[in-house]
Amino acid sequence: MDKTATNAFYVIEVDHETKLPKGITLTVLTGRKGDTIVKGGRIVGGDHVAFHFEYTISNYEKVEAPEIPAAARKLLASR
Amino acid sequence: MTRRTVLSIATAALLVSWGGAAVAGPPAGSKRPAAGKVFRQVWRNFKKAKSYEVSVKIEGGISGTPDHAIKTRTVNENYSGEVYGSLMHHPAMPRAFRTPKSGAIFTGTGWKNILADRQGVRLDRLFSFPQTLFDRAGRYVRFAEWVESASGSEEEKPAEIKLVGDEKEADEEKAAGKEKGRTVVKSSGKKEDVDLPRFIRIETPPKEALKHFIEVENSGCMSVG
Repeated sequence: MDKTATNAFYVIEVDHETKLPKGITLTVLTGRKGDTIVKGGRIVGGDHVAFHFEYTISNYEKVEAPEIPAAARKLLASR
Repeated sequence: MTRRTVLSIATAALLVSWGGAAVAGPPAGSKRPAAGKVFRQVWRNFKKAKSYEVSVKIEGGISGTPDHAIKTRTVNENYSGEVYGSLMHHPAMPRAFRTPKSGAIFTGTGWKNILADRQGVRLDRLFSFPQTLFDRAGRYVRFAEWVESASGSEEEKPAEIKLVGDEKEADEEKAAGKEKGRTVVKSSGKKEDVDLPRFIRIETPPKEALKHFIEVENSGCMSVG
């Protein structure tokens, strides 16, 4: 891998009616030596490593407080 | 040479080579609000949300195209959770509870620290709290720009200004806009509608990009390169 060519960007999907996000995608890219085309610091083609984290957010204010078992609660408070 | 030194050199090289500085803001003469301004509003509203559901689809591997679509897949994971305040509950197997600082996972024999379980480590490192992502993206709001698609790879297009008056035409345009992935928003008190894209792209500087990549490596999910 060629970590001198590493890019990351977020793409946020906006619900213009509620002014809340419907989703957020994080894309992380890194080059491969001799394979990747980079222009102006951006990976634009050629073989490269890519990771996409695509989050979808929904049902605002519809989730109820979960019941946490005592053992789990203890672990959550332990750090 | 230590790993840290190598990373520092790589980061410095990235900072020197990085020329990408997508400037936020509408094209000259446009009524379109700046992407950064809209992001800030959305971010602020999101912080106020007490609860929501979230799912994440993670795909990783080798791409060979400018849109970074995966052609050789090595990672394909899906997780979901319910956020209530600072707590995320994963009701599906493996059942887990997380806060941004700690976590507990049910392994079958009982509750364990999330980082004491291989599946838990993967979940915790790959599935970020959306609020954390927004906070990290918000540091680079000056690079926010409108884009036309979820891939974020298309170039920004000039704003299209529409005059209000013909309701039928406005409805038709609204319907057409939805098909194209665009939303027509009425500006209160103004005499025009601004045809806004639904997507805002925020590019991070190379140092942050490298940090993200190292986090992916540390999740243990990579088997490529």
